[in-house]
Amino acid sequence: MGETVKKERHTKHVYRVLIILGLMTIVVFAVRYVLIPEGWGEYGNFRTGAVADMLEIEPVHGRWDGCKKCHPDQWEAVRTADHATLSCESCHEPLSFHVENGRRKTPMPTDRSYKLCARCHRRIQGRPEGFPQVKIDDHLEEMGGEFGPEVCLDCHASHAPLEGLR
Amino acid sequence: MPDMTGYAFPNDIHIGWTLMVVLYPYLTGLVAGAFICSSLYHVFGRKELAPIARISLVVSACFLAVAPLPLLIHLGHPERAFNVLITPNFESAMAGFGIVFGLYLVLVMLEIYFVFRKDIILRARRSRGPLRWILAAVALFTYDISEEALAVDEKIVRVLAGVGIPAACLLHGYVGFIFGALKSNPWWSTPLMPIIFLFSAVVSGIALLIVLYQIAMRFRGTPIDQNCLRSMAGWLWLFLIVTFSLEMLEVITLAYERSEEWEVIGYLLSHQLSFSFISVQVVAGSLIPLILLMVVVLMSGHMKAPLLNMLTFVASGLLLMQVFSMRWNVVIGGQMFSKSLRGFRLDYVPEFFEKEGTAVAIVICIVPFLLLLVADRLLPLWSQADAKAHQDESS
Repeated sequence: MGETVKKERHTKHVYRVLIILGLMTIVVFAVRYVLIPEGWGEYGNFRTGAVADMLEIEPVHGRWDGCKKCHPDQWEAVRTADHATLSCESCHEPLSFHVENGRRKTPMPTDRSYKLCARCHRRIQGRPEGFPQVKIDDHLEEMGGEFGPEVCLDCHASHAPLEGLR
Repeated sequence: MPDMTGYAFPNDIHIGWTLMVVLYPYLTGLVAGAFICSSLYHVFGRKELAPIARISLVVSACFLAVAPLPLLIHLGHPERAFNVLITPNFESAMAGFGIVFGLYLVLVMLEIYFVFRKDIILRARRSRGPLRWILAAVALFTYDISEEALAVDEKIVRVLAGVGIPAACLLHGYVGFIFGALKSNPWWSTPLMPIIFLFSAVVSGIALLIVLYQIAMRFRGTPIDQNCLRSMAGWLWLFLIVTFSLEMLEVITLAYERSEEWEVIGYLLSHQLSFSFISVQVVAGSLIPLILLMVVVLMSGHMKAPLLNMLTFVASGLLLMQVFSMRWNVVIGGQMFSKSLRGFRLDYVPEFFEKEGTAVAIVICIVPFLLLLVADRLLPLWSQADAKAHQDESS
């Protein structure tokens, strides 16, 4: 019987690795195909529907006069004082922390720390010339006062900082 | 609250890229460095590096596994990480990460597979129960360890290692590119950046292998192969010379040009970064190892083994620190001055317990070594001699 001796090539494992790599590539592209969201890339590198989805999201912050309805006195007081250009939420928490469906949900937390004031009024040369800024140590030395975590409020009222200095 | 001096813009107060962004290029650097070290053996035939040829690949894989962690922690929302693979924006350099990392991971795993295939099969043969099945599956159910098959493996490893060198360069060069391509920041924006990152990556990789090799041999009670160590010291010295020259050239060019950015960079290097740049990176991290390694390389013939071991160990330890401080000086240093080029932040010290703090960084750095311990239990990592010992143990 003329049996041919088949020459063994010893590359079985290599082919198996290649097959696995091929399968992995197919799986990766298949998964990618499934996961690409609908509307991707129609107008650019984003999902078209994302804009509509964003519009659905309930805003966290209120409008600039969002607090006026319940706190008209404070709101008016701030408008006539030095902090007139600021929105309430510049210093307070966002409206939605405090109000839900037009009703008070939780008390509005108040940050009385000097760090909150320092965020804008700490002396940094890069700020505009006429903007009120202080180096806290120098300011305390000049005005006389003891440093503490709420030191600014010892003299200034946060809603009208330069009126009725204590 | 951080202190500012000079004409700094108020929003330049924040260090947005924190310790985690320092750690990320450090870890990928170790990945690329260890891989290139293994390629010296597999591609360029430096047979004296045989004792660390296997471990260097596994070190590369272990660090590769944790390399994305600092970024995931820094960015938050890790579940969104895959978006960069699913819908990449090819105009963004950062989108390259997912693809480069993915390809490199496949490449390293393949190379490890072909290097260790014989050991996996031997282990499968002497195992019982479910472990045998798992290992058999890993061996793809062919137990062919004939000489011809192993020769095929060796050829494939050579090709993979050859392809791996540009891949490793790409993986790490792109990290340097991300910094080098930021034109708003004069401390980062230089085409030298990817090259500096690449060479210092190789330095850190070889240094880590020298430290690991010496510690492991001490624990195992195996004598250190002096030829291998001498060769590693030589390579380390070479790569250190190139790295240090490039790092200094960049600073010297800036200093000599005296253009407007030197006003901030010169001040930065001599004030905020004086400790981490001058003391740590340049003097303790570069000059001292440069001298130590020079002594090792030029005078190894007149030196007893313990002295040579100690000198390379100390130099490597210092170099591991040098590369970390270089990453720190680049990443943090670049955020210490204002975009106005006229003002500075005075200092930055990460907190110990915070999301991107020191404790997290330490944990991330420990994980690859734990992975390495696990790998050491499974496979003979150290050398052919070691592999033989594993074999004898089983028979």
